[in-house]
Amino acid sequence: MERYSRQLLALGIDVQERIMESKVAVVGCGALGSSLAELLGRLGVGEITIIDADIVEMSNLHRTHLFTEKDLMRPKAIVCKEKIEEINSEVKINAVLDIVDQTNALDIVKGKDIVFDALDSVNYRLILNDACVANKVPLIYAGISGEYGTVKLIVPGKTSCLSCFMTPGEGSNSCEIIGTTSIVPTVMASLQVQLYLNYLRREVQDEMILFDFRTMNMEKVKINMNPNCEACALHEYIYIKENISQSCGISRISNETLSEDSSSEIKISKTQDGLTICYGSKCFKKRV
Amino acid sequence: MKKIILLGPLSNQLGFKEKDVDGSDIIDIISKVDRKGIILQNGKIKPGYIILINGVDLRIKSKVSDGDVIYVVPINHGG
Repeated sequence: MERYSRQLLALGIDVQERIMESKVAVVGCGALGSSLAELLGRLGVGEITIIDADIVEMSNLHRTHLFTEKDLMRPKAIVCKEKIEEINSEVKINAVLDIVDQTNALDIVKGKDIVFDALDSVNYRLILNDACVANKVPLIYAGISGEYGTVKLIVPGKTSCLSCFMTPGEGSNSCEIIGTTSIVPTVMASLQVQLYLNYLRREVQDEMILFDFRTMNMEKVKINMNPNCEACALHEYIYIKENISQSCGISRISNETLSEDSSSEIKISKTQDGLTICYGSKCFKKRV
Repeated sequence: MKKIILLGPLSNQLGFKEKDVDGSDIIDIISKVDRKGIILQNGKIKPGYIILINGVDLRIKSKVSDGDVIYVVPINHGG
């Protein structure tokens, strides 16, 4: 416990034990996810599953944690796992080289004590939200844009969920490249982890926290449950049943279209509008 | 009159934080302050904004009356 001696003074042994017993998922390992993974690893979370199919690129380095120039073109989830294992070998880390979509969202969420949403697409966030609400697994959302961020704790059955107030993005509206700095995702990921600590203390507020970095204003807005919400009110879970089109970012290429390859070796090829990334026979299209 | 309050970068984009506005319905009220078409498109609220009337989501309660406080909250998807 020497590692956590200063932390124990702040949190107490009960919260530390709950942290060390926690099985969490970090979905997305970009700016938010790499920061979350580092914070959770240092906190001493029992088991962290990091899910991302993407690779490290030069344009990521200014705002991410854990990645260096030596990691360029390597899978983000693997790099995060290796770096956290160096920081805290007591934490079990699983790296999953995949996206979270209709085919696997329920399986990825199942058995987790809490899920951190570090995605960058509203459509994938709604799929993850459906999976968490259906499995009654708490979810901590954060989203960033420019010098502005929002964060919210979702506890199924107790609070509103993402589907209460979010709608799927369509066309170019959901494909805009969002600029930001290293500061915004680092602070918003820290707020997500603070919400996790508060949740472990059984402190749950149904509110969205908004942080404006330019003005240094933090505001809290109460978000009521929507009685027509497809997830937490009607339990329809339409986003894990329907195929939401994804016209940008990273998406799964149907395995049937590919020749079988049993190796797990990474293959990256350039396409007209981005990259194709394959881990064995599992391939993803990355569009920009 | 109704009070409209903009959160996050919206107050920079539209040049005010709080304003008293009159209007018959929520679209009418927002269109009077959103001259640049940041929140509205073709008479509808764009995806990515939550509109709260006295703390209640527009999709639950859409009627506005004098004295109501309307929050416009931008939601972010970057990660």
